Amino acid sequence: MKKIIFFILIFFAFILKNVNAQNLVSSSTLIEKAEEFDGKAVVYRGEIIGEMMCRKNGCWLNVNDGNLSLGIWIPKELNFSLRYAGGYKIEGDRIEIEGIFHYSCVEHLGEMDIHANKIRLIKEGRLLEEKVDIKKINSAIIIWGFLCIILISSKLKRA
Amino acid sequence: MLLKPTPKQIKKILYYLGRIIIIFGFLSLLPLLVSVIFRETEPAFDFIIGSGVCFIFGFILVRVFKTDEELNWIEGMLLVSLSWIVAMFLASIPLFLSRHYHSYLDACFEAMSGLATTGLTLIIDLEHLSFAHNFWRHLLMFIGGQGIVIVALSFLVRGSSGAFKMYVGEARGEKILPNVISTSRFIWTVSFVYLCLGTIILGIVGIAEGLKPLRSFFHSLCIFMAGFDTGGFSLHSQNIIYYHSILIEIITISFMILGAINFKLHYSLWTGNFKEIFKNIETKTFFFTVLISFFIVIFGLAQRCFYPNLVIYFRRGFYQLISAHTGTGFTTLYSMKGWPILSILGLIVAMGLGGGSCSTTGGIKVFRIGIIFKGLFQDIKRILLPESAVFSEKFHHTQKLILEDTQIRVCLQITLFYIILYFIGAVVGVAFGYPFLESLFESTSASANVGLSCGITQPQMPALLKIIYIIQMCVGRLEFISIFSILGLLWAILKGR
Repeated sequence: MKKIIFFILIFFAFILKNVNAQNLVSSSTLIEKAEEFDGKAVVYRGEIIGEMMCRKNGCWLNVNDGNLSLGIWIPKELNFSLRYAGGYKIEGDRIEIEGIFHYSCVEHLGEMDIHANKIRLIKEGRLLEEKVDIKKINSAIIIWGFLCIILISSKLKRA
Repeated sequence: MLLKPTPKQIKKILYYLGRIIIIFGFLSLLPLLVSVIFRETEPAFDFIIGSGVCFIFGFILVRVFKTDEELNWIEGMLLVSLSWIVAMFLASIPLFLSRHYHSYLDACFEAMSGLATTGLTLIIDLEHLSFAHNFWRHLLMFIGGQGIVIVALSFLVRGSSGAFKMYVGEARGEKILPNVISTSRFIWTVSFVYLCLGTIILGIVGIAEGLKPLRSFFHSLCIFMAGFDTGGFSLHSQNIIYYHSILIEIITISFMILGAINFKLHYSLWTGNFKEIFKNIETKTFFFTVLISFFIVIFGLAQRCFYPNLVIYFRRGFYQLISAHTGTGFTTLYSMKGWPILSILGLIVAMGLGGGSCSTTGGIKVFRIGIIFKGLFQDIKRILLPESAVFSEKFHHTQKLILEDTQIRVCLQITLFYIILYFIGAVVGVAFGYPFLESLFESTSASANVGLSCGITQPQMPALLKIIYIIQMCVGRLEFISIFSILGLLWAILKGR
């Protein structure tokens, strides 16, 4: 009996995963076929970039799927909190958004956006270690050293 | 008889070029400050290297070619065009070192796009670019918008007849104040005052819209530089959409319009002559051309029922139109694909026309359009009136002026050059397999220093097309004469005595 339940669960998990995968769309698909996807439920994945901008009834997030970024409207009810937003030296949280895509959202005066119904954290972001390329340090020393030689030699010449 | 340039002439040009490069070196130290504020170590080294290279070249040229002689017309023009080319190569060093460009050519494209205040970009992964590099991209627009040589005129070159030649070479035919140095300083004063006001206003609005204070002021500083100088770069790949704010869109529209106004008109406003706005030929022409092109854009969109309501039509249509007409390149659209052909044509016309002369915009300029139409009306009047009738057409441009035939001829010439330039790029685009309308759009955008793109400008585009666009951006910004002087020099070297 346990085995049967286990297989049934696995079967449903597989179906659910495929349902999500069917709705999973990229930013370029949404932009190119915007009219086709207007008002439809979509699943969108990507890295949060910049920062979360909170307004009266919710917050705006910009999520980049590796190609382009799309605006995600998160209603207050979702209580979403951000850990890391991508930027220089920061890898932003990777999230999956289930929501309704709007080609020209009337509520937001024509924004192309996704109104999130559900957000799932796929991978937490992190701070990246900044490593300075040794070649750059050496080049800077050589260039500024050479510059000092030019300035000193011209001063000596003048003197 | 064509004369080869003498060593003395070359010496003079290289000496002044050295001085301009040194100033450029000091300017490239500014992003270092940003890297310190945001604790970015590696970008700091990029700018240490970049500025170091500028100083080395600059000091060597100044020491080796030291001279006290002044520049003549052709030398002034040559210096300007050389300065722009050299500035492009030097400005692209820190950009290339950021590792956000496929090649050095792409970094050069970005640098010229910044300096010429175009706004077309070949950057990869803009979202993870450092603050210092982003600041540099926007600072390039601020420097290029005012004019690289204007910087030198303000701080280095003495008030001389040579200074005026350099000033004219950067496509600024009008002196605002009697002295060209005072004119340059006035341009910088206006720009700095607006920069401070614009940054504060947009910074506060940014905070109200949910940005963190430090980031908000940084964003507003960059957006102001890109907006007022009609550049169009932004800190994120979504451009102005990133902010999802109608208020920020309204403020950036005002920045763009401010940038498209002739500095001479700014001077009139600063001295309290507000009536000038309603009388000036440029503002009148700008108003009419905006109205007509807006009608074309909206008519095209309405034909296809593109947006759900009128407010959205206005928000989308007007923003793209003002951005195109002022030559800025800010956008609130993810893609131009899907826009009706008529609306795209409306945008191409608006891009081609440009803003005011002696402003930071590119394109034909509304002053020339106004003069051409005045000339046309004058000819119609001549036909209609009796042969014995004597009359003269007048126009208002800070003072009442009589329209002269030579003025109309010059305006027509420059307009023709621009149209040829727009079509050359379009033909090259078509030769590379792009559709004609898109090629024309991109070519006009590059030549008129706009920066709106319908998707051709990408890191994967052919290298030759990148080079063509770089040339178009430079030629469009300098308005031909300086570039013709370089071609003349090459011809003189080959064929002169």
